[in-house]
Amino acid sequence: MTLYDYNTCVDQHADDVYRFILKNMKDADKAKDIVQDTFEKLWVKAETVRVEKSRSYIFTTAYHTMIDYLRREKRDLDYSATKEIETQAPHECIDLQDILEEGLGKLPEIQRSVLLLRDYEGYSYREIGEICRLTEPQVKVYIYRARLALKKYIGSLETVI
Amino acid sequence: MNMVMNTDNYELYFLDYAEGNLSPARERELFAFLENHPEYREEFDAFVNVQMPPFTDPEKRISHSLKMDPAGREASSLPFGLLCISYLEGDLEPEDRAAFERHLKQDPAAEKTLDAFRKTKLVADPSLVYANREALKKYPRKNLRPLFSTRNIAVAATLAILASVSWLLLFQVTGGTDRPRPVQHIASRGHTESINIPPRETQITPRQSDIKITLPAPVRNTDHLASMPPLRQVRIPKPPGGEPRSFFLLRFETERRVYAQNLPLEKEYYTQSPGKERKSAAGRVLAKIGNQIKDLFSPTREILDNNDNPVFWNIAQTGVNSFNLLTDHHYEIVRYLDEKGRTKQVKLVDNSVGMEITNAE
Repeated sequence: MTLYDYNTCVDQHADDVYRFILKNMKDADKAKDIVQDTFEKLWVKAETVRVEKSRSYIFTTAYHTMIDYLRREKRDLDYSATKEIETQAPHECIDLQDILEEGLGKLPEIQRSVLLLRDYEGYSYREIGEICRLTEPQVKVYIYRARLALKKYIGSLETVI
Repeated sequence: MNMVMNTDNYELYFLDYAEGNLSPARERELFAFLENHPEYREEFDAFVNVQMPPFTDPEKRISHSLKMDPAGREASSLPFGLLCISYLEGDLEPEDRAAFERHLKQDPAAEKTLDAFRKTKLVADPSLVYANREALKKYPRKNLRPLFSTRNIAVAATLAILASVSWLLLFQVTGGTDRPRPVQHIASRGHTESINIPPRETQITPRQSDIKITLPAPVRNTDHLASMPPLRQVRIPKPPGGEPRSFFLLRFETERRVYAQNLPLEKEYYTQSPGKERKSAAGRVLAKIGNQIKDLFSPTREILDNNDNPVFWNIAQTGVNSFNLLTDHHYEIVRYLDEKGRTKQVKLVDNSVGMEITNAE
């Protein structure tokens, strides 16, 4: 990857990876730090990362950097647990996207990540599996669980509202 | 399915079992899992509480999925939910997809449930952008040099030399009669040659050009050189790797010690004081000056060592004058000749600091 390729990657993917991390962490400053770390790592590995794999490399690196951040903060990272997300209606949620955002924030981290990669970035199950180090069936299950949980969340809120 | 059943993927096993797609080995694995995780038994029963029909017909397969939700599809039973999600994710086979769509047209409740799942599709907010994207980019490193670095001065001096040489050649071609007069006669061992140096504040006007170059002559006070004892041989330590073919010797005297510095062609400079070698403040200053001089003469050093053509020395002195003008030094060239008129030694003298630079004798 040349200097030009690297800068092109910044132009093409910086916003996407920032959104992905921001939606996961809900902290703009930390998201910026992770994006910065990610691109620094890409630059260090620029000679070995192929251009066609750069997007996947960026998201993989960003995801695992985020995991490291979260682990350091001792946040709840129970990947396997299927959580029933709370359905208490927040007063400020009046728009469907707001409700979705709220529900998304209540998902377990792994479900949130695979769903964001799927919906925001359009990654295939296989690609998401590579990024999150999961099997394709696992990805499928997490997406399924996430959508089911979000549907429940939306439905319950609609009932409340 | 190449995986081991666990809490991450049990739904897939349940679904495959409900659809009759599990191998005997996988079935054994499933029931072993249920024995170890009885908390999933109820969920499993929700999958299989309907008798399995043979699912060769897509319509029946879809219908079966719907039937597996006896409490009503609004409750999003797992199989029907998975069917909806598979439909939305584009995972259904074409015939299953067509059958599912046909069923939706006949069943408004199913359509409503599907619509509820459709709402879970996340949409990226384009207004969320990384604010300082330019800071992430990389740019080629530029070699920043101080404006008045040795190299810049040397380059400027070289340019000045070129300008001076141009003038000198033009002057000689046109056969001007107002040549710079000899101003310097320095006696030393053997024969001393006079060096043509433009007199102070001489204004030179090329005849065939409008270019005017004014080169103020350096301040020359060389009286003390006349009484200077013959240059003594300075011992130059043999550098590692062999004797340099030629070098300059930088010599600087103070009241207490003598600093000498050789400037071999391929070696780094070093400072020597009597009894020990070390870098001193004065030595570092000398090294800097030596570098300037070395840079100044680098392109012509080989010529400097061997050239006996007086024109060359006129050019060299003009270059030095330019150097003086640019760097506020007062260097002069003093050339020692042997009896046959060949260059024996060259000194570059700065009277203002009592410094001289010689090449090898």
